[in-house]
Amino acid sequence: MNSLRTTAIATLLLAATSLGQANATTYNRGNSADPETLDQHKTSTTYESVILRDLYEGLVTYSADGKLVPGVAKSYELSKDGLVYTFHFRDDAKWSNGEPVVAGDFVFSFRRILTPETGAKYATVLYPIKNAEAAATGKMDVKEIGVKAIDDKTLQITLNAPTPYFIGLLAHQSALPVYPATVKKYGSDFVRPEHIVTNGAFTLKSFVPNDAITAVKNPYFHDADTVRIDAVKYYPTEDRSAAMRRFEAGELDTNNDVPLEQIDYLKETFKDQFHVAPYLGTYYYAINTQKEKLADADVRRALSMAIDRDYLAEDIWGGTMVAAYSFVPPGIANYDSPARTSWADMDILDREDKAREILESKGYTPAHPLKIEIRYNTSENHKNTAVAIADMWKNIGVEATLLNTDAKTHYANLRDGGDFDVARAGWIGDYSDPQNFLFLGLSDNKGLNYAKYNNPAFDAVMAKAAKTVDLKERAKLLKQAEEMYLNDVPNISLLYYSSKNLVSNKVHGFKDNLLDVHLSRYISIDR
Amino acid sequence: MLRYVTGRLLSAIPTLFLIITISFFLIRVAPGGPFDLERPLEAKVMENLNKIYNLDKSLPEQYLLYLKSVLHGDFGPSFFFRDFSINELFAKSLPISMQLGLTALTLALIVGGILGITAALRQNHSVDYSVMAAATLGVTIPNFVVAPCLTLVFGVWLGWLPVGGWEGGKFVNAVLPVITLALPQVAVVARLTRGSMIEALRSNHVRTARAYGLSGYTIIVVHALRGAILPVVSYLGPAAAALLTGSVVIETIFGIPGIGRYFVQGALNRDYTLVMGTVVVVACFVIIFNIIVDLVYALLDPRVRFD
Amino acid sequence: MSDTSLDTATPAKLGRSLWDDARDRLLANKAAVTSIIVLAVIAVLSIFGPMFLPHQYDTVYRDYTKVPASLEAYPRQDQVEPAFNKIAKRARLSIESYKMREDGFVEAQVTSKRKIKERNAKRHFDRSDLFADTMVQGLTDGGKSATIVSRINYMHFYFGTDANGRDLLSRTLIAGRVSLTIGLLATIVAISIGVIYGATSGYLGGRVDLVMMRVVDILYSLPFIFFVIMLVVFFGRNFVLMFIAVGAVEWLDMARIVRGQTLSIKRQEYVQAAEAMGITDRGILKRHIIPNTLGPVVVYMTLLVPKVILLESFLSFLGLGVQEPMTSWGVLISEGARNLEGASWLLIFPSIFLTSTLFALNFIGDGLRDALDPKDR
Repeated sequence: MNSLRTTAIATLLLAATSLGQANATTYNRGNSADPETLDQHKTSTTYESVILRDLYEGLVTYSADGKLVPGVAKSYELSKDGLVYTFHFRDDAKWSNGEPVVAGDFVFSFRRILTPETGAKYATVLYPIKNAEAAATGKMDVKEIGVKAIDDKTLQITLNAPTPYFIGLLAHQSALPVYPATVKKYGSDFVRPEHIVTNGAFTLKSFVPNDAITAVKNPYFHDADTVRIDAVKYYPTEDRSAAMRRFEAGELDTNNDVPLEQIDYLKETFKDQFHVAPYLGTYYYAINTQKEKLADADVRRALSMAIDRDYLAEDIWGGTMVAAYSFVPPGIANYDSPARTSWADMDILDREDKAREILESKGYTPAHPLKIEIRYNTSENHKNTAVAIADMWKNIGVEATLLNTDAKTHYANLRDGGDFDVARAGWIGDYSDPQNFLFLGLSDNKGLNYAKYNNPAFDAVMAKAAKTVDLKERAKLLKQAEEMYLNDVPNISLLYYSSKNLVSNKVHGFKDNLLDVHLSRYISIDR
Repeated sequence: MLRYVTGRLLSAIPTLFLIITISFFLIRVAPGGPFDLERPLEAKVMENLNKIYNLDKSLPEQYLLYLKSVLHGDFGPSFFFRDFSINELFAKSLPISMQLGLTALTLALIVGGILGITAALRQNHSVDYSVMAAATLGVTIPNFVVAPCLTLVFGVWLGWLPVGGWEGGKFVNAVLPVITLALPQVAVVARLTRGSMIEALRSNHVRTARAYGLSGYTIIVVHALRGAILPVVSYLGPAAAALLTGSVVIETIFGIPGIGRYFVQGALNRDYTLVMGTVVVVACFVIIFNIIVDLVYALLDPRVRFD
Repeated sequence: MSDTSLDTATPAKLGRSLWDDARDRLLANKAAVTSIIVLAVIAVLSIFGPMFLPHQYDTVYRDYTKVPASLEAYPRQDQVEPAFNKIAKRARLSIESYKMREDGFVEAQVTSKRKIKERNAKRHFDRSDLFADTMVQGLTDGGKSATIVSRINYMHFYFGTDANGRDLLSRTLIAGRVSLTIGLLATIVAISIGVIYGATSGYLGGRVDLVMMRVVDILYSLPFIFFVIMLVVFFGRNFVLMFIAVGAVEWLDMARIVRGQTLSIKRQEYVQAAEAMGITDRGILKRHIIPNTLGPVVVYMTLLVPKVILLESFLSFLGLGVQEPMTSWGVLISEGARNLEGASWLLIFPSIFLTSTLFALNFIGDGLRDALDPKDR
């Protein structure tokens, strides 16, 4: 009874407040899931970054079209050896309590994320900073990291080695600042709406798990005058079909995912409100190179050649994916065009003939076929893809069976070196650089090298690239590494991801971009 | 009776203890832990996270620590919703699920009861068949079909009701979830009421009562219904426990911040404390409702005695 | 079994047996008889239907992904030419002239920049689900120009196809095998355990009852998902495990309901009379208690079947249920529900099968209940 009464009162209050702000614009933003936490140093997912980028501003930030633009730092200089960055802060950078943002706040924040006790999941992103790795693994005091406040408005960051994508890293959610005073006072509770202090265009008002997160405009934000939205409500839209209906009914202004089963309906119903744009990610099948039958690169290549990627992209994924013949997706920074498998332009039938020929030469005949189990995490489209690929493999005499499990079981099995043949996986870039894709093939990358690929020559080229300052030279080396990788086929690149957004006609300022970042501060809505 | 209730409540303690113990060890068998992601963590980071949440201790130690904190009424921190404790999560979500469940249950009892009685009084008549056919339809169509269909019709096409969201519990936001939740229950209640009502109407005491010339209405209500409601009551015990602890499907489709979603979210995210919390909540509801059911039994049927 | 055959073989038996009576009463119930026929038809269709259909349940028709249900044959007239053009493009042929002949063949004049490989061109067209028996004729111009003649391969998809282009009719029928088996078997298992357990608990009463019902409480509260994941991890996927998983949870409610009924039945005069006559507990349970609980049991059974069938689709989500390309009604319907707006046939047809089955079961259940009613005897 008590709860009923409370609810009734809450409803009244809510009605009262909404009456009071009749002219306020609320942006109802569908966001694929609830964040694990709003503590930027403990997050790891893209749906967390959507919220955090609205709440906080890093040294650099993104423009409406996903380009890197100055954030708290209005400018920076880089030393000739490519190791020392000096950032100059804008004068009007302020926290939501009116205090100025100072260089010391960033020093505090970088130290906090690199302190082992914080338990930061994505601290690795900041490892290019001098001594960062040693500090994060407890081998060195965190005060030794290469981040220094010259004065309140100047910050200096020293790196281990030249890192061409470093500025991009600083726009990542793990490089967003925290407000030191509240962290010191409340510990991990600093994220609560009653304590939180942010420096972004918005500040947190409430967080009800599985319901909505509400953020309201931060009046102290340096660019507050251009922010047209008074409040943002982030709805976790785990059920994509339900989200689509909510969008259709006008309850959501945008949503950052769609039910892919219904792609034809989406195109027909929403037309230009349905945005599909290239995205920095690759959908692939990892092959267990430790398995005897799959240890031969030729066999793996035969499997890869027999897959008609155009069919997968167009018919299974309804044109929301792009056929992939490389591991690094196109459009990535610090790279020229990605490498391509040698047979990419061959006719699919000739490819099949070739694949069958290879398998026969390895002793696989109709009487003694190659048998493969495809594992995938449960999802309608992963299933459809697996069914289609099993059917394509049938054409070259490979007998494929399917097995699905829930995501945790699936990835735990991949990582713990489980007994799989072929398993679905995907990789979304953390930042725009080929290194962020190719490092999946390093033999010492125990966690992500699902295929257990081990090629010393590949490792050597990657190591050489990491030390190369000249961007052109570096790109050449990375491409060489990718060619090796594609030639050995530790995994089968199938498709490049696309970002898929539903954007109402009433919404303006939502520009498609490769990183799929859309800060609410650039959005305006006709009401 | 007071002694009976006290005895039952006391017997709940070992039951709860066993439930907690078995569940605690059962959920650790599943592969993957709370901090396993698609992108694996640095060994050191994992170690630190485990330390923060006591996962670095041996399983028996963790178990004792957990028991201790539960005894103090603290279900621990959530591993997945890391900004919240389990107690906070439940404090927000349980009232919502209970409110929805209770409304649906009441609706189901009233509508289902009336339908069942109507059908029983016209046994094998066209009224009986049509009522039962409608009721059957309610049971046979799963809620993950009913919910999208209702939202499509009333939310998207007609625009009468919101498609989803809770908005602090506005009436319009609760209409469709309650209907979806109640629909199969209406059907069950109707069927059970009809079945036992037919039996009760034929029993000796109802026949006797009719022979004495009491009006038909009184017979039904006072005599027949009293006996007939027993199977409904024993069904409602577990059903109520299930309804009040929320429905995953309905809460996900309608975007309701209830407790039902935590069952699946907790399991799929390997949020051990959240799973344990839901287990304890369900167990408490099950135990309490079973006691209530047994008491109602004794009230309705004087032949049933407490041993 | 031998007892029954003996019974029927001996005509000089006093009166009619309880089961004879029940059977006659059941057969007099029109709704029940119709339902038995419906159920039998669905079962026969599921078991033998797939053998007589032109499409296998796992055949992928790549050119027919998600085509709507239709009585007309595919391809439609207006689909032929675009499909032909698409294949020609893939085979790197350019079309000079195209015509559809009266006899169901397509004839086209094609050219290519390179020499046309006869075998490959033929394979390209024959690989498509729309064309068959392709002939490459009259190679001229140094092999760079030819005439392609291809037969249009008409097919029927009465229930439409799924996202992989598989015939929904044969998939719905094959799914019936899984769903009917699990629906009926798991239900029977759950009911047998539930009835015996519940009746024993309620009849014996006292401390035994207390302990037995607490065991039910405990099992009821355990996290089911983990139980399933544990089964998958330790035993892999296995059809028998599915029964164990379903059986393990679904008998609990049944046990409670039967126990409740038993509590009230055991105070009835006839049970007390039987007790006074010195009949064993077992005998009383078998002869008096269990038959008298059948009413609610039958009603509850009809509720259990849909629950079990749908639970199976959840098990499939966790990897324990059926695996592709095999399927079940539960899986088909949950897929269909996600395609509600775009491809409603994926929801409608499996639902019709499931709903008719459940309807039939309900009416049979009601009929059985009426037929077995001890008070009607």
